[in-house]
Amino acid sequence: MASSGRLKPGEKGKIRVDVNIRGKFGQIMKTIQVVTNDPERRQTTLSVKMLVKDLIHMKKYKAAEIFSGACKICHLDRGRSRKGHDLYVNDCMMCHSAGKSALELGAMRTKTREEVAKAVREGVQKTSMPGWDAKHGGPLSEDEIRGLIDYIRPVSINSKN
Amino acid sequence: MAKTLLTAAFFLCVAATSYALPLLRIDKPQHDFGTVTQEDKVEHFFEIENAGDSDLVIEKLVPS
Repeated sequence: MASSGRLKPGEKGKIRVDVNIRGKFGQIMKTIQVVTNDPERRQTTLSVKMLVKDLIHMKKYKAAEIFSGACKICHLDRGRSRKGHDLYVNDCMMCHSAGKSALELGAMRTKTREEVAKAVREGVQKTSMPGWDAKHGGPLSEDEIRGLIDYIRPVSINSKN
Repeated sequence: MAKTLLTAAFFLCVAATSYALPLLRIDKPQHDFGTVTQEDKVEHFFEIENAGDSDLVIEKLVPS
């Protein structure tokens, strides 16, 4: 980061700081501790802050676009080769949690297994929920789909019907 | 006479080394990027200076 690790008396230098804000939004603050041989102050703190405007989530996309481009880094890649609960946490929970756009797990568990299966496989019309199985343009294998449905809506929960 | 000069020189050296210290000066240790979007490149160069009178060594940078 520093242009030079050693400065002669009177010499000036620069410390470069870059922040990766991909997929982040809101107020962000980063600090960097600079450790030198200055006997009076061995450590000095540098800090940067910014407000990251969320442009990505304000645009209207088709649901299936979360499987491509920059979207898939957060919405698909994190869950790769994971199953059941693990897959849910990595690929579903960023939308399916309190304060987010989609139903929380508890709310989904009040639905029938058939309703949940249909939503996971085919997506939900007029929402940001895409179809996840291959027949509907989704990325998941049949095995992964079944594991996910079993996690979201286990058979053991008594149906409201 | 020569011996006295040498002694004087020796003490001067000792005095010089014991007072020569590096001093890190950073005028603006905080930077506010303001409002940015996810497509912006967020990069800043902090200007630093050695305001002391011996070499300043940056041993490490520890990001949070």
